[in-house]
Parts: sequence; structure tokens; C-alpha cells
Amino acid sequence: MGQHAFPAPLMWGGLGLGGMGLLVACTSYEATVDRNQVLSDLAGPVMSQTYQDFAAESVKLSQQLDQLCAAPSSETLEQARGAWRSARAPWKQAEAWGFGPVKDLRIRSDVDWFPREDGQLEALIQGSEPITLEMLELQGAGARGMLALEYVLFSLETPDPTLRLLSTDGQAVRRCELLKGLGVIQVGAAQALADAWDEGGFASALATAGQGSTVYAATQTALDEVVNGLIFVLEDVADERLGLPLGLKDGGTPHPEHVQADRSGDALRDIESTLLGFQRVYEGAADEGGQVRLGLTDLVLSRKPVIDEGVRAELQAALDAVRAIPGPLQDAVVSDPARVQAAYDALKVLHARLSADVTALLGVTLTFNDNDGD
Amino acid sequence: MMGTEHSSGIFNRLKVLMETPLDPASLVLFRVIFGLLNLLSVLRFASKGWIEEIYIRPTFHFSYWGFEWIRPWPGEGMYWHFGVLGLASLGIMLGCYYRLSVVIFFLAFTSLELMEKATYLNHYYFISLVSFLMIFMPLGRVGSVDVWRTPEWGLKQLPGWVLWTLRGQLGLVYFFAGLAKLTPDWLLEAQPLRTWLLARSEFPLLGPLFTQSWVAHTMSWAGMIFDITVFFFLLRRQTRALAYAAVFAFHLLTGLLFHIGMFPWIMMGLTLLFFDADWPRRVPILGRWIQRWLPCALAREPAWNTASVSSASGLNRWGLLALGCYGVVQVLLPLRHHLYPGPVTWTEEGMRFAWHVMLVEKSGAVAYLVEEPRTGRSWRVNPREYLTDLQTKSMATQPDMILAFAHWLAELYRMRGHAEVRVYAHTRVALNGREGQPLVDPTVDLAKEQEGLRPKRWILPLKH
Repeated sequence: MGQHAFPAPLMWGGLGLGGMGLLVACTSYEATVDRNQVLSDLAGPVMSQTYQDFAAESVKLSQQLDQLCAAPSSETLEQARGAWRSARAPWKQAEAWGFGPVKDLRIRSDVDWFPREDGQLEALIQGSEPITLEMLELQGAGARGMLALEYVLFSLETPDPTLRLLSTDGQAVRRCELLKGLGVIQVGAAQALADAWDEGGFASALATAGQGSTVYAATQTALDEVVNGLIFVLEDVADERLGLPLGLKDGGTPHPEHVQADRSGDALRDIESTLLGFQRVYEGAADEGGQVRLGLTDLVLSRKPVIDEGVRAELQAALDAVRAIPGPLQDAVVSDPARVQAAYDALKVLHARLSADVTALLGVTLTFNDNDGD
Repeated sequence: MMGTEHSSGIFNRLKVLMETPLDPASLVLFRVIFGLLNLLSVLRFASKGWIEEIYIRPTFHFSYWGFEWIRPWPGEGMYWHFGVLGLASLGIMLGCYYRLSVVIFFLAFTSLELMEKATYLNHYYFISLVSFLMIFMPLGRVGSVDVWRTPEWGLKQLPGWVLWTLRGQLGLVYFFAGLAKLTPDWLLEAQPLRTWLLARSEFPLLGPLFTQSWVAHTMSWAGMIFDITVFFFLLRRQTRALAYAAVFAFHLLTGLLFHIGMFPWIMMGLTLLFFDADWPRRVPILGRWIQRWLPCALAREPAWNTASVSSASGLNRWGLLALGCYGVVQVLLPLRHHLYPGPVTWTEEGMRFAWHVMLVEKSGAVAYLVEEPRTGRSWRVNPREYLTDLQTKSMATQPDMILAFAHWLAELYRMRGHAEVRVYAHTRVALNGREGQPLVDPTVDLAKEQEGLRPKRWILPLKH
């Protein structure tokens, strides 16, 4: 052993110096976008603020439901419906991330669960057991939340019997008790969510990922969660909210019964809200002072502008394609499937862009399994 | 004539190296470390819930071509499988029923890897190879429970071929890992290291440096030079300590930075084999510990017994030939990707079993379209509905897995009553900082394509 004289120091040193010579010519190409600043800007003006909006709108919704029940009229009904839509918008926007307290506290079952259990709701209304908060909290998720509210506030029948059902119908009182109870539960859930982000410190934990955060040991882990959230929601919107009703999973046979928020006709509005939530995470949002803060776009742009341009263009194309669908969605999947298909395809293009380009560019781990590496 | 004499000289020197009896201390320690690390791996795997997640829950598993018959056990069988693997690791560590333990370990570990392609890791392949070699090595005849029970069976020395075979295997890993880094991506773009370092810019002390281009380039070049040369420097007594320090630092850094499981620890532990065969004796505490606790205490002054070594555990002509053949295969296998068109990091043809270690940051998405020509019906399939996250992620960038799942889908739809279906894959894959592009030709019916060793004509070329 060791009979051949390897030019050890010379070889390593020479190659090393050669490499270094090449490198000295290189400038620092990485724009210094602070990833924690991006997370901080997302945690505050985007995510935490959205939950604050949701909590505030839920309170207004609850008040409107009280007013509707106190004085049922076309005006109070429309006001309640408007409040329902105003509360739903930030909630659907927040689906664009969907990690953190909303998952840990299992808020979704109190607020928005699909499929809605119409039979269970009708049985509740027609029953005799007093409708109390305790009783409602024991109901399955399909009989609670905003889609249960939608069941009482909206109708697919023509002429619309909702006002009659809430005023002169024999079960009007029980319908109102149901509405008010569901409203109170939603207020509690929305406030718990907002508190968890704000006072509970989740926004701070996200912002300080890798810098003493109690939740995220590494900045990258938090970034992974944000990007994975976006990828997941695109899959959900494309496959479950458009593809499933369109029949793309069933050989082309449309299934309008799989459309969410069918009674209000707001399925497309919901999808648009979710995409706007996506847009706020990607592009950043303005703070209270009107200053636009950092978003994922800043990270992507600093490393590969062409990918950033692609994401923005494809996001806009997806939004345009969704807006081009003539509502309501349950009709469109039957009468105008081509437009729904176009929106589905546009979302899939954006999904692939995120899953491939952005993920690889930012070194995001698509799976949460560290059985990985080489 | 000169050439023949030279060859003969090399052969004779090789023969001497292979037959020279050696102090078994470092090899006993190697056996203990190997068994211990694998036992820890088994415990780690179980504690993280991966047995359930990887082998039990999935309805579909990605098999290797020709090994489709190796499937996960039904019911609780996989837990038993891991239990047996853990016991075999313990047996290797203690030298208890060593030969049986190592045979079982090799079969259990390798079959585990063959059950699910999505879990492929180079270091798993390395462990399979080493355990295979260990079957033929008399490592249970020194410092083992076996010898404690049957002292007359013990050896005081081990033949040189044992140590040199293991050193050679380690050397191949490093050398080919270095050769694989001789690519424009690695050397000119510092990819994928550049991406990975940027993703760890909050790393204590060093983090801010990771945003500098020269750091990524320096580390890429240093990594390549390290991999190609470290084997030779480990062989030389003069450079060995420094080279091992480099091995230690390199693996420690990559382990801390990139969360690559047990691999860094395995390499740090096994590379100790490059030190002199009796090095453990010269480490004061370790030497005393070995002397005190190993059932068949190692002689402080090795009593060379060449005759017993040769007769009991030396390599005969056939053994030498087999070892030579093994070596040739190990040299050719990592080079086979040159038989396929396109960069191996893109096509993945010849990527596995070739020490292409940490060469790619590759992400992608794949969606399937199943068509039934007879009725004109079609189905969009999101593979995540059938696969785990790990499987989905692995498949999205690997053509052979995309093909395997297409075949499974075709079979699934046939079972659902659709006699003839076509399956198309719509893919987008981004490699080492490039913009994403299609990996698979979306117009090719993958249901008709066969798996095999021939180049896959439906893989689209890397454009830029």
C-alpha cells in the first residue's frame, strides 16, 4: 500500500485553485430577498389579516341573521345573504394556504364542510327537539357551517320560498333557531382562528421560522408549507370543484350534484375567491398603509424571472377562464362544458408550473418524508 | 513481454494483498458499526411510521423490472419483516449466528428495497451490496458470540481480501459519485447545490455565505474533487488522516444541511476501514473496551496463523474469479447510462445503481388521461388519488415509474369493464433550476409501451 506517489497536495490544491479561479470571476448572483421577510409579510397582511376579516364578517353575519329572524323581509333576507357572501369570501381566500390552526383546531368542520347533509338538516328543522348550541355542536359536520346556513338562506326552487319558510311557515321558528345557532358557532370558530394566528402566536411563529420559531425549526420548512398549500388548493379546485362536477372522473358524464354552494349559485365565486387568495400569497398584499409587501413572487423573480412571469400569466389565465364560465356552475357543467374544461385545463397548467418550476427553484420538498436525499 | 511482466507483477502484488493475514480489530469494529447503524435504521423507520406509510397503506407499489413478484407481505407481515431485519442486524453486530444473520439481512433488506422503487436511495443499494459481500466474509469468526460459544472455531487473523474488498467497494462509491459530477450543471451552474444552499440560508454561522454564488461553485468543485480523489488519499498513510478528516467534515456538513438520513453516519463509520487494520487497539479507551467486553477477546499481540486463515477463509481461485467478476460489474454498471441518449439526470435511464448521488433537484407534476376509443369516453386521473406523497413525488420525475403507473391504470380500467383503453401522461418537470418542460410525449399511448432495457423513445429530450 502506498507505493505509488500520489501528488496529493498538488492535485487537490491545483484543482481547488483552478476552480477558485473560475469562481472569483463569478459575481454574487442571488438577489438578497429575505425569506423570513416574505414569510412575515405573508403571515401578517395576508394570512392573519384574512382571518381577522373572516372573524369580523362572521360577527356581521350573525347580527344579520338575528335581524332577519327578528323581522323577516326581502330586505333583511338579502342583507343576510350579502353578509353570508361577505363572510365566505375571506374564508375561501384562506383556503389558498390551509395550514396551521385551521387544521390543528379542525375548524373546517364548524365552518365549511362538503358534502352538505340536506336530509339531516331537514330532519333537524322538522323535528321537535329544541335547537340549542349544544345540540348543534353534536351534529355532523355536514349539518353545520356555512353550507348549512346556505341551505336555509337560499333555495333552488322558483319562486323562491325562503322568505315564507322563515316567516309564515310552521317551522319558521326552528329555521331561525338553526340559523342563529349556526351563526354563533361560526363566530366562535372564526374568532378562535383569528386569535390563534394573532394572540396565539402562529403568525409570529411563521414569520420567525428558523429563527427561534416554536413551530418551524427551519425557514425552508415554513416555505415548504406555504408552497405545498398553494399546490394542494389548485389540485382541489381543479379536480374536486371543477373536474368532478364536469365528469372528468367519470368518463365525461356531468355530475352537477357535486357542485359546492349550489343553492346560492356561488360555486364560481368561491373558486374565484380561492384564486384571489392564491394571488395574494404569490404576489403579496398591501398592508394597512397601502404598501405592497413581499410575496413568493419576490423569491421567484430574484432567481428566475421567466418562471415568475409564467406563474403570473398562468394565474391570470386561470382567473379569466373561471370568470368566463357562465354561472351557476351546476348549469354550466351541462350547458357549457367547454368553458368549464378550459378553466380546468388552465388550473392544471398553473398547478404543473407550481409543482415543477417553483418547487424546484425554491428547493421545496413536495413530501413530508425525510426518507429522502440522494 | 514488459507488459506481461508488469501485469504479472501487479497480479502478484494483488495476490499478496488479498492473502496477507490481518489483525481483525478494524473489521470486527466495522461489523459492529454496520449492524448497529442498521439496527438504528430499522428502529428509526418503525418509529416514524414508515412501515405503514410506505409498505402497508399504498394500494399500488412500484416494482423493479424483472422483480415484480417481490411484493409487500399482507397483513402484519411487514412488521414481522422489519422485526426479522432488526434481529438480523443485531446478530451481525454481536456476531451471533453471523452467517445466518447476514444472509437473512441481505435477503430481507434487498427484498425491502425491491418492493417499492419510490424508496430507492443510493445508500440503500450500498448496504445491499456490502451485506451481500459480508455473506462470504468470515467476520463472525472473530470477536463474536459465535466464537465465544465455540472457541475452536475462532480465527486470530482475517485474510486481506476481506478488508480490501470492503475498501474497494467504498472507493467505487466515492469515485463514481465524483465522475457523475462532471457535468455542466454541477461544474458551471453549481446546480443543484446552489438551490439547496439558498434553501438553507438561515443555517447557523454559515447560512449567510450560502447566498453567495462563489460558495455554491466552490462547494460543487470541492465536492467533485473530494469524491474522485478521496479514495486514493485514504489509501496513502501520509494523507489518510487528513482525508478522513475531510470525509468526516464532508458528511457531517451534508448530513446537517440536507437531512439525508443515515447515509452520512454510515459513510463516516465505514470509511474507518481505511486506517490500519489494528487501529482500534491504538485508541486507548476503545482498545480496552474491545479487550474487556468482546466475548472472544482479540489478542493484543496478534499471533499470525497464516495456515489457518488460508484454509478456513482464504480465497481460492474460484473465489478470486467471482470477486473479479463482481468488480467488473460494479465498474460497468455505473457507466451504463452512456448507452442511452440524453442526459441521465433527465431521462433517468441508468440513473439507479450508479452512484449518481445528490445530482438533481427535480420536481414535477404528472396527470393521466385515460381514453376508451370504442366509446369516446375519457377520464382524467390525478395519481395522488391512488399513490402516497412519496410515490407521487418520485413518479413525477421518473419515466419508468410514469410508465408503470400507466400500465396499472390501464389494468384498473380494464377491470372496470373498459376492454381497451389508451393511457397518456401529461408531464411537466423542472431540472436543476431550469424552467419546466414536458418529460414524456403526451401523444404516446403508454399502455402499449413496454418496460425493458431499451431506450424509451417516448421520453422527450431536454431542451435547454
